[in-house]
Amino acid sequence: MLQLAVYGVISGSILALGAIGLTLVYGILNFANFAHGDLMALGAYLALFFKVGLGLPMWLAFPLSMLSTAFIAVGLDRVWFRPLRQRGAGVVLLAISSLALALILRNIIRMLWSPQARYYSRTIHFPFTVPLLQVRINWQQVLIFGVALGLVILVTLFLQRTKLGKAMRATADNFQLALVSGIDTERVVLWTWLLGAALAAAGGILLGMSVRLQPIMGWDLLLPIFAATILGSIGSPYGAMAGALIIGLAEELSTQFIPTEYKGAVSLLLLVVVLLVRPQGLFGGRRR
Amino acid sequence: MALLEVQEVTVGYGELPILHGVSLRVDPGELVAIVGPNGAGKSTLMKTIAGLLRPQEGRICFAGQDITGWRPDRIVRAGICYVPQTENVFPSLTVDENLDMGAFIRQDDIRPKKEAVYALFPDLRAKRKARAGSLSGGQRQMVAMARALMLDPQLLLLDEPTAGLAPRLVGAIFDKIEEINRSGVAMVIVEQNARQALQRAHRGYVLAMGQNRYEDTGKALLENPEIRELFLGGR
Repeated sequence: MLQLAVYGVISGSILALGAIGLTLVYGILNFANFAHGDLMALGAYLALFFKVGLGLPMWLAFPLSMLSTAFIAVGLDRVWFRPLRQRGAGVVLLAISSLALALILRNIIRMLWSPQARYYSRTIHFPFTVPLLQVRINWQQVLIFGVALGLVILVTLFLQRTKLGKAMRATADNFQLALVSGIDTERVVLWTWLLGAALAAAGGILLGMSVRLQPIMGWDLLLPIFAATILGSIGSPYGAMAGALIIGLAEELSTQFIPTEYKGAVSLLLLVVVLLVRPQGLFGGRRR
Repeated sequence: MALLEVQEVTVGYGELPILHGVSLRVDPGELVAIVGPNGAGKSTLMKTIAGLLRPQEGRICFAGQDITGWRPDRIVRAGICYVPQTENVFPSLTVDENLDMGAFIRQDDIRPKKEAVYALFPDLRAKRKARAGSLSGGQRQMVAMARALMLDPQLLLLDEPTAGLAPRLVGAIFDKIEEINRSGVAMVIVEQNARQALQRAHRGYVLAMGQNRYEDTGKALLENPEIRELFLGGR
């Protein structure tokens, strides 16, 4: 049980990286970005390109991928979403167009890197037993969790302490009020994409390290990150982190009782329950 | 010279105009009340001055500049701050952070201003670390006004500052409004509480069906039998 909880925390921390960007884009631009999962996959594959393609070490490939994914996301916003926004496209239109973008990204990944599963390295990581806890874990998992946790802490500090971070939360809270407060919402939107996509890339890479890379991975991530976002109240980055942890734990712990293949259904189930019982999410007191 | 001059403004959502050639003047340091029945276009007028809606016709001048069609953040920079009627705070941010956001465009040290604002609203000082969404309606209204004051606006627009508040709070909010006004800030308030608003305002406008109906000093409007009959519920 404790063993599963450890796996849950690790996968939850990876999901959190995806959910933060999703919830910020949702809160600020007011649409469900179905391409966010595939942005995570793109980040994972870009790291593969830097590491295996160019032969760079992982510690360099990792930030390079975050950076390039961030700029790609901003570029995509400029050519794809912004023209729609400026024409006053509604929530549904934006969501559907993001779905189209998701398909395009996924198939570009398939074209460039083949539909087969890929790996960053073939090294096998042997687990060791953590004394006292009696939990078996390998160093790579420790590293993944450490990096994810570090990034989450950095983002929290950014959102909590910096003016831009506060403006991001404010804009997610109430766009019109942000406008009339004089907040430069265009700049906030730009930084939201940069930050959200960089974190998405990080999440994608860490997932690729812990499992494997597949073009479909973005699609598989979509449900749990949406569940985490909604669970933690849409637009709230802290809620998304907590929601991701809950989803990660629930998925892993469920394998104790149900076959592992149904793990993914757990987040769907949680999502349905939350929408029925507390549609504003666990951490949202606010009404719209 | 007038601080704000709204000239014959026509505004609407989509094709349908809400305001038909409305005019409004605010002199420096003046407290102006806009009253009128529901749906008269009072809030629309405020949103238009704040830059959230674009006039289809007419002009808006502020401090000698034509600000017609400016973006909201540019209007804020020019010196007009606006407090919407509802959703006028950032609920998941603390009171302190709400004030920070009010001062977003300021590059200087905002601490002295914050202290001054807390001195004006002492109740908020104790709640500065509380999330604005967790506060009561009256306190939220104070946060909203405090946020708008962080920029030392020349003109403050308040849309129904007492809507939904308990009667004993209404007087307190009006006292604050007068206090802010006495410090030199010109204000436009839209009010359901027409009687109180007109009593306290220097001048008032009665808006109905998207048009100016009357304009006079607050006192004169209150004494006008026709207005009492039509808009203030008789007596």
